[in-house]
Amino acid sequence: MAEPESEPVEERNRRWDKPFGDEPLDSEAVARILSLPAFADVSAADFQTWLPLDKIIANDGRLRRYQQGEVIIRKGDYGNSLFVILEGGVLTLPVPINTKSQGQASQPERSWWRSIARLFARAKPPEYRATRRRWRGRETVVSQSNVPSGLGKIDIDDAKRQYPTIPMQAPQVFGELAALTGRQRTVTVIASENDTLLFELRWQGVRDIRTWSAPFRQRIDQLYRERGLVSRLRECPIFHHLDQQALDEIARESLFEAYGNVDWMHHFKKEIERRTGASRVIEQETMICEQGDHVDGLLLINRGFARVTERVDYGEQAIDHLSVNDVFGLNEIAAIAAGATGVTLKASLRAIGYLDIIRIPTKLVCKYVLPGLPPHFRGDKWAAAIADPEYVKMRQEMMDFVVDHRFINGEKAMVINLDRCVGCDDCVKACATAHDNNPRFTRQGFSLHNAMIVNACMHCTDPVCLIGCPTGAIHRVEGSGTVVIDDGTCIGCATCANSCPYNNIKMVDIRDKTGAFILDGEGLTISRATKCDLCVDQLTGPACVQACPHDALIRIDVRDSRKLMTWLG
Amino acid sequence: MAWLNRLFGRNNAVNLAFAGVAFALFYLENWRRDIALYDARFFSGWILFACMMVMLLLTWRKKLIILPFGRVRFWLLVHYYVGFLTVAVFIVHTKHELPGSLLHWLLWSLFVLVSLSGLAGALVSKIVPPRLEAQGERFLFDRIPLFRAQLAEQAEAIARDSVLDGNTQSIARLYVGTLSEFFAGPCNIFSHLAASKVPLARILGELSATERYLDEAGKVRLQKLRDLVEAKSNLDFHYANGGLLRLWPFLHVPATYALLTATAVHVVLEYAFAAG
Repeated sequence: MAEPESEPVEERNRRWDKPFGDEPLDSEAVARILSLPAFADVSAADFQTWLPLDKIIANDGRLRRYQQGEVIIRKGDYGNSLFVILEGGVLTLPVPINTKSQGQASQPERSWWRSIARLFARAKPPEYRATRRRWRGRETVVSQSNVPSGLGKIDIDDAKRQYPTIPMQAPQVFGELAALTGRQRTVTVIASENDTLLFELRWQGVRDIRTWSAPFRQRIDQLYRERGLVSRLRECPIFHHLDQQALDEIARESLFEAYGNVDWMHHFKKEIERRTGASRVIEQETMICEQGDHVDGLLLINRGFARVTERVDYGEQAIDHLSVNDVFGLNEIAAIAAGATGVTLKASLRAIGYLDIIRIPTKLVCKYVLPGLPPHFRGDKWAAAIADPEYVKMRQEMMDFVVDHRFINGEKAMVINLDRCVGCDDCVKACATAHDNNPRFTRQGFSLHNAMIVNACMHCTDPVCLIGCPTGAIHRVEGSGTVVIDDGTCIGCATCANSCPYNNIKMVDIRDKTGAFILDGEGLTISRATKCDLCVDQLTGPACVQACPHDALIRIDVRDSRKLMTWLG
Repeated sequence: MAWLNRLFGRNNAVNLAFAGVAFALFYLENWRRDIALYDARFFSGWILFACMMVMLLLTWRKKLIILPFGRVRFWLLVHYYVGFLTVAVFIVHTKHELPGSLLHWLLWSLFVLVSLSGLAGALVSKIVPPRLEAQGERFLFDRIPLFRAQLAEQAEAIARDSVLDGNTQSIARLYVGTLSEFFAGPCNIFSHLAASKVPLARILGELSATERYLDEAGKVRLQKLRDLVEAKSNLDFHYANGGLLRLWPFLHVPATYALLTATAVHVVLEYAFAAG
């Protein structure tokens, strides 16, 4: 059958190609949104001509209507947007909710039929992309669920009985914490009234408005400080035994501090390419507090990673690494609380890349945190590792390796055990099969002894590749947090590829069905960013793991040292 | 399939026990048919054929990799243990006798070839990776020729410089006489398979013997050449051992398909000429 005639369209994606909703918001809706208190003082004049405020609202926002009991966001899911209540109200619950509908609105489609069709499909040219047969921005996504979020519905009275709830009404804002940090949602939010109307702004819209409008930035940051800090403290295990009053007081007295450089990855890549050695890498890391310093509060890692070091002769030995929710200085404060005098820090703390910390005053730690704190928090991890024969302590060399190369960021790093790998490349072939004959990694990378950390996306805890993406094409899948690239909105700017500290994102030039490069109006090739997507749309999970016949490949959280070292043998 | 992976993935004794029980059941049934004066060879033959088909599932699993039929690791273990079972069934099927006809000799030879190459492959897959890892940095096998060419280029440049800049002949003579051939392609494959260092020691000995004729600049060049020789020997080690990992399937897989074809002919002929 002949294909319908269509007007030729430019194949290069652009910023406004895919609106967040089925359609961009109309001017009436945009005017209504901009009249909300959340956007008061946001002036259109502050925005660039190529990035006007009304277009951001129209394209990066959508209106969603919920009925009573429908789940809007779920605790634990990775959030990519903030919400403003336009009509009706919502309830926040401090627990993840399991509904009968376990669907995920943004979960890629997985089906047997699709997998079988892919297996038997005719071989296509490398990096083939179907040319568009549609008008730009007219692609309609049909939700499979009756609930807009796809998360199902719960009985609101039951929820009120079972959990402490906080009601919110129009025109309050929620979801800003996850939208700003890219982290998991800290609460579940359900609609408390029928016909609750919400305005949802995806994170790149939040980022752009925050960048160009100082009043919006101040308002959102203020919200983040007011609500975010208490939420952060509540989810931190060391504060689980505290009541709300204690948390509120700690939140009031604590300080936010940032160390390092947000653009650390560019510098880091240069140093790694030069192979300048560990001491040079450590020197580049910002010192937060030094061994022998006066104890100035408990440091809670809010975002990023830190290295704990001890002075050994003329160098520094890494003895531990800290990440989100870890604390530094607790044992020293405990010694002060026990009456010791002249207590100083036993180790130094350095920021690996960029680091956010929360500094909690010593007196509040003594007053609230130490009494009733389970003993395991106060134990020395290093000593515990030696005392506990079951605990497989990360060998010094391996710890230096994963910290110096910053592999500790990887939640799903691909590690190959070189003692078992026969080099058959079945992993690469399987990856190619799962991605239309385009393998999304190369079986090479930095190695130490029998461990090779392969050049495949590690789906980082702190994915710096997401920060600069102008269209939000690279994003986290809501439920799993897997970092994926939407080929339909990637404009090929290579910001993510340049930002990735591990060179795990590759730019490719796309081709048509004849194998010829697709060119734009100026005759230039069109690039797209590609990387491992953890086979998020496959029935099997990562095909590389499935395919390895010798159990030589694993996807692993590098910080799970016990599992890693046991597996490496 | 995850529970199957867990059950069979870790414990060799459990896997062997399953294979042993399966063989015992087969043997009892075969013996029962034998004493009941059935032609037990048809029974053992079909069991043998079924085992071979089960072993072929590994190939199909690899082809259907994006369908959720369990990890290839699990199917490889099935392949290994059903392989042991198949050898035992084959011995029963042939009644511990050598073949008596040309087709049977062909079948027997192919079966032995497939079994031995499979066993060799399994052993090689266990032994070689730790050897390669112990040797230092792992190379992608397909890129070894590229690295070898780069080393050859550097070695030639040193030899050329020794004549043009250093005004000496010893290094150039050594390069033309010995090293050019050494850098031109893979060398000492069997020595590397045997993990012998003798060929490397010989070449390094020749380099050391040249040292006395060189000035300080020449000695520096010689040291660079020594490093290149060691790097090339390392590459050859990876090429030899990595090649072994690549080579054995070329013996195992074609022989398998030849065996399957011969088996099909064998089945047809046995039924065509079967008495009764």
